[in-house]
Formats: sequence, structure tokens, C-alpha cells
Amino acid sequence: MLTDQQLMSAIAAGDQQAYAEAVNRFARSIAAYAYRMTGRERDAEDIAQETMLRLWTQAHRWDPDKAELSTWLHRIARNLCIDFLRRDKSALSEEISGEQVDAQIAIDQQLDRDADVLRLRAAVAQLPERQRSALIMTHFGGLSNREVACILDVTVDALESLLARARRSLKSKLANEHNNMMNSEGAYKS
Amino acid sequence: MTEFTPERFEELMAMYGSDSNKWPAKERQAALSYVGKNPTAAREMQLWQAFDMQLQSFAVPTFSGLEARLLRQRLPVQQRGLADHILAWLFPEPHRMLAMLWRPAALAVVPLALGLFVGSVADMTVDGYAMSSFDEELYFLSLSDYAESI
Repeated sequence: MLTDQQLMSAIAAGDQQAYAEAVNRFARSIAAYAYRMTGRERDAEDIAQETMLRLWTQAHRWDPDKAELSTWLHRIARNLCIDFLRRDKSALSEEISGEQVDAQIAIDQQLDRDADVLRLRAAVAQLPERQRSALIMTHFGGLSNREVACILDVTVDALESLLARARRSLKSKLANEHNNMMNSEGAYKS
Repeated sequence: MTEFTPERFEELMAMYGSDSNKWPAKERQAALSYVGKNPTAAREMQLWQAFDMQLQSFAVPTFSGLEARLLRQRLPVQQRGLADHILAWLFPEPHRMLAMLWRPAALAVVPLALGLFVGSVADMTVDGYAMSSFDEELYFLSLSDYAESI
């Protein structure tokens, strides 16, 4: 298996086999990150596609001394997500707004697990972008704090502070919603 | 060993999560000992564990056929500026640097070769300078006092 450096040298030289290997190695994790950021499968795939195209066209710009390849790609993907969210502010709200979450729950009270997932997605979507990226990349992306700090262009201490704020805010929001749901169910039963 | 405060314990949970393997190594033992002795901290840790499990439910689609779709698309031409080409030629990737040292050396020789070529081809004399210099020499000779040498 090629190292990241060998892979990128080959891609910079126009080797399409090397590009295919890079796609197989990174596209899925980029798409997963983009999905958790945007909330839409189609948009996540588009962002993964654009990220991989930039890897192809800009391969010569990657500097292994500055960042690992996965870090560099996540940084590109994050910038594309930010552009996307600026362009289409409705993206997350269209799909997972709080009202729709409530509507979904009202439609089918039996699907508690799905409702919990929708609530979680809505709560994550309401986090500020930096907190959301920090949480998604460390918790789901398997990246180290040092790598994520590099992607977000902050110190590791600042990243840990972002993570703490994100997790506290999410935990409190989910707990409140859970309590509200329990109260409303109690009122419905009585 | 660090004495744990409730605030520091909450901070640890918020920053690193409820999995003690992710806590900073130098604080891990003290934190676990704190949880063992403190029922309130143990209860708080359970809440954070429940939260972390809830986070895991944020699954992503399978993205079936994603790689195949990406590889089917036509790749654009890799565009690089002239400066990028020159730099890439001069300074190849680090593991080939030693073998390619002749390239920067060759570049350094170019001004020298250019100087030699210009020096051999170009006429460096200033128009009329030789003649005027000869006339001036005769003029100064005529002014010289040769009596001293006699």
C-alpha cells in the first residue's frame, strides 16, 4: 500500500490509479463528515466529490510537513461545507427543523428511536459551525485532537474548549427535550 | 496525585467524554479514584455515558456505490502554473531530493554560462575611446619636462 506521500506524488503526476486508491481510502469518511454537517445525503456526496476533485487538481499543493493527508482533505471538506451552508441556509432547517421533528414524532409515537435520532440531529445542527465540526470530527471521524485543531486552525487547548462547549450544550438541549417529551406524554396519558 | 474538584471532573467529561481511555493519562487514575469515592460524580458519569451512547445513534447513510460514482466521472485537467512546474522540477519530493541536486546546480550555472557567452560575443569597447586615449597620451607627453631625466 502506498504511503500518503507516494500516493500524492503519483496523483500530482496524473496517475489515475493512485487517484482511485485515494477515493477508496478517503471518500467515505469525507461524505460521512459532510452528511453530519449538512444533513442531506445528496449534498454530502456532492461535497465528497468536490473534495476528491480538488485532491486531483491541487495534489501538488499538499505539503506533508504541514498536515497529514486526511487532515488536509477534511479541511477542504469543511470549507466546502461552510460554503454550502452559507449558500443554502435552509439545508439543515428544511430537513431537520425542530417543528419537523415534532411533526415526525406526532405522526408516529412508536418510532421512539427514530425520533431520538431526529432530535439529536436537530440539536447537532443548531450548534455553531466550529463546535459542530469539532464534535463531528473528534467523536465520529476518529481524528485526533491535534489533527482537528489543525483543520480548524486553532490550538489544541482551544479545540478542547470548543468540544466542551459543544458537548455541554448538546447534552443540556437533549435533556431538556427529553424532559419536555416526558411531561407532554404524562399530560397526554392523564 | 491531583485532587479532583467537581468542576474539574465535569470539565473532563465535557472535553473528553465518559470513556476513561480518552482522558489525559496523567489525570486518569485520580479521576477514577474520585468517581469511586464520590456517588455524585458516579451519577454524573452515568449521565455522560448515556449522552455518549445517544451520540452514537447519529448514524450516516451507507453511501452505496459512492466510490464507483466518483470514479466514473471525468477528471479535469490538472492545471499548474509555470512557476509551479519550475519549482516542482527544481525541488522534487524530499525522498528524491539528493538524486536531483543536479537540477538546482544546473540552474545556478545558467547565469555563469550566460555571462561567458555575452562576454565573448559583445564588443566591450566604447566608440572613439581608443583614439582619444592615444591623442591624450601624445598631448601629455608633449607637456612633460624631460630635463630631469637628462
